[in-house]
Amino acid sequence: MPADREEKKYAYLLYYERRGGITWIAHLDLMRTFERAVHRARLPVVWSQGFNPRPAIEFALPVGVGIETRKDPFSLVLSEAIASNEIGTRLNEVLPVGLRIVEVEDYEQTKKSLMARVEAATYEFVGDGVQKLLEPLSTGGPLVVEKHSKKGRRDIDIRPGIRSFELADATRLIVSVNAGSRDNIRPDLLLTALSSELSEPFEWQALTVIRRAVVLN
Amino acid sequence: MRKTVHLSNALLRAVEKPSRYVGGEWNSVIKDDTVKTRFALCFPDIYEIGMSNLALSILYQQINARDDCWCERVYQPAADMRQKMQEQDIPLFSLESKTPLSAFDIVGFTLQYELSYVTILDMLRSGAIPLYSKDRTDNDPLVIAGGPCAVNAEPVADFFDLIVVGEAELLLETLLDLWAASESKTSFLEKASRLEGVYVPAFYEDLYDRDGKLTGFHKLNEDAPLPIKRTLVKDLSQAFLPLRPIVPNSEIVHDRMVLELFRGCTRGCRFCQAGQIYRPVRERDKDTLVRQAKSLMDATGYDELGLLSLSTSDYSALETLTDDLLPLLTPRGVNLSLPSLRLDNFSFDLMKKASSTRKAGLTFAIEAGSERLRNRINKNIREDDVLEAARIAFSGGWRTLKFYLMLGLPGETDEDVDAISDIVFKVIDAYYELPPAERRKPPTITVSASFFIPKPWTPFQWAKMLPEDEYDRRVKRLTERLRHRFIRFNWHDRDMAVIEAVLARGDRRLAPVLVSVLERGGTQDSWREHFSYERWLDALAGHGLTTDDYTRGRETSELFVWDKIDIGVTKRFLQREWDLAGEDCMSHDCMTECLHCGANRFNCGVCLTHAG
Ligand code: SF4
Ligand code: SF4
Repeated sequence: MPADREEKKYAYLLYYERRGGITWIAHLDLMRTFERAVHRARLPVVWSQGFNPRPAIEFALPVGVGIETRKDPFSLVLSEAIASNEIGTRLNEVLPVGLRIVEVEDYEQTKKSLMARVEAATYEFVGDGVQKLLEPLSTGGPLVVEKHSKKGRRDIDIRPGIRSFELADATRLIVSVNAGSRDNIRPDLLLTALSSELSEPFEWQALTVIRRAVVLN
Repeated sequence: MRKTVHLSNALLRAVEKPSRYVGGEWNSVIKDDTVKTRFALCFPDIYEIGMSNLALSILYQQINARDDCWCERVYQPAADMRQKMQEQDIPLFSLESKTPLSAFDIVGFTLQYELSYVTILDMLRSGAIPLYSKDRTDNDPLVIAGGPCAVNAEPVADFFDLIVVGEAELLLETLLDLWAASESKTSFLEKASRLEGVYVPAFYEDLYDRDGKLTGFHKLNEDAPLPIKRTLVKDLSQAFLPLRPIVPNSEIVHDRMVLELFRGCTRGCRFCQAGQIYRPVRERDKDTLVRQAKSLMDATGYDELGLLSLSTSDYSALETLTDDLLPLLTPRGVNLSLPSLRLDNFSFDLMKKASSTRKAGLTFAIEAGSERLRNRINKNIREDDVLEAARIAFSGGWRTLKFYLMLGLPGETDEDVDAISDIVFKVIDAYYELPPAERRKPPTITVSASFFIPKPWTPFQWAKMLPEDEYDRRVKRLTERLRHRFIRFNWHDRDMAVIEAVLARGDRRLAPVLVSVLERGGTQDSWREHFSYERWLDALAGHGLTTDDYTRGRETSELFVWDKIDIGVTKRFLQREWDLAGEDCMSHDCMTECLHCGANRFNCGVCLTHAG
């Protein structure tokens, strides 16, 4: 492992988008993919201490299999100061097709982890028939989903977690929901709940699901 | 433009690990659709396994280094995806361009393990390619194969237009040139068949007498060579050096960079096919390896480097190699992993340097329990060395030990079986020699037994496989004797071993059996959950065959179907080894003394300095 000497630390906040085939990898695999890209770009990443050191990369909000992103944040800590646009350029040269850094800014690390700062996320659902989901979104009753956790199965109402919604056009529905460690509304659960409210069966699985933004506080 | 397959959101959401099917990994190659030769490199297993294979990674990079070829990968989809593809009429497709298999010019399969043969047929079928080479026309792809099982590919010979026997790297360039210049498959095969390492099955026929005994071979094409000679890379510095392997986006079985230190093995364990068919040993030069490691780090970003070879610690410059590598790897946070260290030249210093070893545990491939049986199989490991190594391991803090063994080796008796548990319990005694303060964490000793399978081109190719009930009895005996809270005992599937044995020494009469297994729903037989012994037995019976026809012992006077190949080692040498085994006599490692095995005809590698 790299020497344990006192390292200088320079933190950055990076935003990435993912599209196409690489949308279908799991979050853990995505993290590994970014780690390897950071190594290929020869960015002097700081390593975590401990038995199994990891590069200091922290994602704000895990992204599920099959969800595209447009501007998802993660932090990266380097041992040397490098201009933020250079970090973006160097990474984009070595990222697999479908992944791209869209913005890099300096990041003032606080006590609060990046994950703890996540408040909300905006999703876009694209495909034929999305306007049908407007009705169950608009009517006020509870939207019940089944959650599985260590304590077992329980039903929860996700309605209070929906912040706003808008039909951009006939094939694009945009919904903002609570996100983060306290209350996280997963898009697949939301879509399942909305679809089950419809009288006709609706195959939400055919839709393209895009996370447009993650809101930090 | 060739037609391509579209994978819908709904399909990808419905299957496990959709990342297996989307491609787009770093260093995967996309070329213009108009490239002259489109090559599909097929591995008959799922993505995670196929992507872990070094030989295919080399071929992929090598073929794609040519401007006139585009090589793409094709894997067997997992069962859920396979079913959905069938329902939705989606043909088997390549990862890079999603092109259906049937639209390729050349479709190449690797023959990695016998139990993948039916999967190969399944892939051809789901790729809409006729199974038998005789049923294919110039409109179908050329279907070829290579890989370790090519040393006796008779059970699948009827399905391939051409089989490469030996290392494909150098030959491949010639074949691709020849293909590009050929008008038709027939004219290509005519010319190709004369090249060293090429086996065109349609040009040969096995001759049998009235009792079903093999009497000889008949050439159906006058100019085809007999025997067919194996090809190899004499000087590894001339072989293509792979510097840009694909970095998968999702985890695979061997998820790391690898350096191939050498090919072949000098030890000559008598059950081991790899120890014979890759002779002679040829090493890659140390400085080249160091240079390769640097390039690989830059090109992949991996955090682990593996050293790969049949018995890695036999590499002559291992110490200086690791001394050179570690200062390169450590500052970049890259671990060195040493997969197959041997305990007879056990190097704990090296193990300590390779920080990932501790996690993985130590492996003791002792293969047989008693010294007598180890002499018989030519496994040069002394019990004292095992115990000494275990002591060092325990006091060095290692707690995970693995023993690999074989049951049913020729001449194995109950005493030999019992000797397995004896040695394991002596290892446990060695643990108790530790001072009590160091004994807080108990060891885990895994004992893995596989069933001996007689393989072609080994001194044991004449051996009879144990009857099935005898295996069961020996496993039971060992299970009873290995009861201890430190020990985990597991053993391979006996039925799968029998079918592997049938195919390993199989002949062309098995081709229709394989088709029957496929038609009865078989595929991915190397997975316990997909394998059905019943299905195999029914299919064999349907063609008037039994497993005994293949698992039986052979006469030393017998001609074998694989005798049409010249692998390097001679039958005379193998028989001498078989005779010595019968007397429990060991042979030298050819690093110590040349055994005149026949591989010196290649005039390279270890033979240059050691063959008298
Ligand atoms: S050491 Fe023995 S078992 Fe291992 S590869 Fe060499 S010959 Fe085979
Ligand atoms: S000819 Fe001699 S040196 Fe060469 S591989 Fe055979 S035994 Fe080893």
